[in-house]
Amino acid sequence: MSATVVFLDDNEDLRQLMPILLKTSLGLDCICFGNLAEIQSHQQEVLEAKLAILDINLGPFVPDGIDAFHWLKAHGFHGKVLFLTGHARNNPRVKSEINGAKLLEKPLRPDELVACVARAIYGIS
Amino acid sequence: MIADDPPEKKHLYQVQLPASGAWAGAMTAALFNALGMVIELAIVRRTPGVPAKPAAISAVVALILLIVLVLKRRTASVKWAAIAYLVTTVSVISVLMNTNLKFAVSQRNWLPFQENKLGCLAAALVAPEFWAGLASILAYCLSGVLQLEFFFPPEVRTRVALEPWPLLAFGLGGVLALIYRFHRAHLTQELSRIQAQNAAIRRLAGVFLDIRDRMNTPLQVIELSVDVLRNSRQATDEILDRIDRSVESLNNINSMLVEHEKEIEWEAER
Repeated sequence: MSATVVFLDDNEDLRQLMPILLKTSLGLDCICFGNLAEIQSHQQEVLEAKLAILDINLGPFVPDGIDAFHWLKAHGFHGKVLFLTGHARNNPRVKSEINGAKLLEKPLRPDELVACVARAIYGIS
Repeated sequence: MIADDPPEKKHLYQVQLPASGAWAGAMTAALFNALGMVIELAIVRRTPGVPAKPAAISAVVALILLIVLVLKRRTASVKWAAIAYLVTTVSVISVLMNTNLKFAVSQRNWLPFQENKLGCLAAALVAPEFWAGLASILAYCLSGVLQLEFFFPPEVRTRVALEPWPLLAFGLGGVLALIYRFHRAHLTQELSRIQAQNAAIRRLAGVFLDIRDRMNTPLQVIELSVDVLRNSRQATDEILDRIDRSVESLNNINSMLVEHEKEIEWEAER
C-alpha cells in the first residue's frame, strides 16, 4: 500500500517526526527520504502519493528540492506539492521554478503545518 | 557597518597610485631621460659651442637610476619612486639650464624650450605622485622663464618673442593633464573600494541566508518534538534527544555567527 504523503528533507530528526505528526493529527501515512536518489529508488510508491512535502536545500553538491519537484512532474506525479524550506523565499530559482506549488517557511507551528497538509489533501483547513 | 561607510573624499595630493604603477612611472622617466640624453649628445656633437658634459652626466645618472629601479622593483614604494623621479627631473633641468642658451645662440632655427615643454607633458603622464608631478612641471616652466628673462641676450629674446607664453601654455596643459590623471586614479580606487564592499556585503548576505536555513530546521525539529511530546505516547528520552541535537545545531550556528561578527568588526574598524 502506498503512503499518502512523501516527505523529502535532509534532516533525520525531521524525517522521524513528520510521520508521527501526520499520523497522530490526520491519520496519514508518510514516507520520508533524505535525497532525490532515494525518491527515485522508490518511484512507484512516490508517484502514487497524494502530497509531496519537499525541503529545498538538501546539502552541498546534491540535487535540491526543486530538482526533486522537476523529477516528480516529469514522471507524472499528480499529487499536490508543498515546499517546506528554511530560506529561499527570495531565491530567484525558487520564484521562477516552483510553478504554483505552495511555499512554506520553517519553522512552522505544528498546527499550521497540519492545516496546510489537510488543505492540500482534503481541500479543507 | 560596512554598508554605511561614506565615500572617501581625498585631495589630489593625497591620492596614492599603486606602488607598482608609481615605480613604472619613475622607470619610464629615467628611460626617457637616458634615451633623450643620448639623442642630445648626438645633436651636441654636431653643434659647436654646446658642451656635451651635462648631457653625458645626466645620461649616466639616468642609467644608474634605471638599473636601481629595475633591480629594486620587487620592493617598489611610491615614496622612493617619487624621489627617483625628482632626481630625474633635477638632472634634466640641470642639462637644460646649461644648454638652452648655447643652443639658442648657436642655432638660428632653434625651437625654444622644446625639452621644457616635453618635460611638462611627460611629468603629467608619468609622475609617481601628484606633488612630484606638479613640482616638476613648475620646475620645467620656471627654469625656462628664468633663463629667458635673466640670461638670454636681447637678440635671442627678440627671435623668440612669443615666449614664455607657449611654454606657460604647455605648463598649464601639463597641470591639467596631471589633475585629470590623478582624479581618474582616485575614481578608479574608489570604484574598486566600493566593489570590494559590495562583494563583502553579498558574501555576508549569503552567509546570513545560509544561517537562516540552518537555524530554521532545528527550530522546526524543536517545534514538532514539543508537539509530539505533548500528544503522543512515544518514549520521552528519544524526543528529548532530538531536542538536544537541535539545540546543539543552534549552538554551532551561534559559533558561526561569532566568526562573522569578527569580520564585521574588522570592516568597521578599517
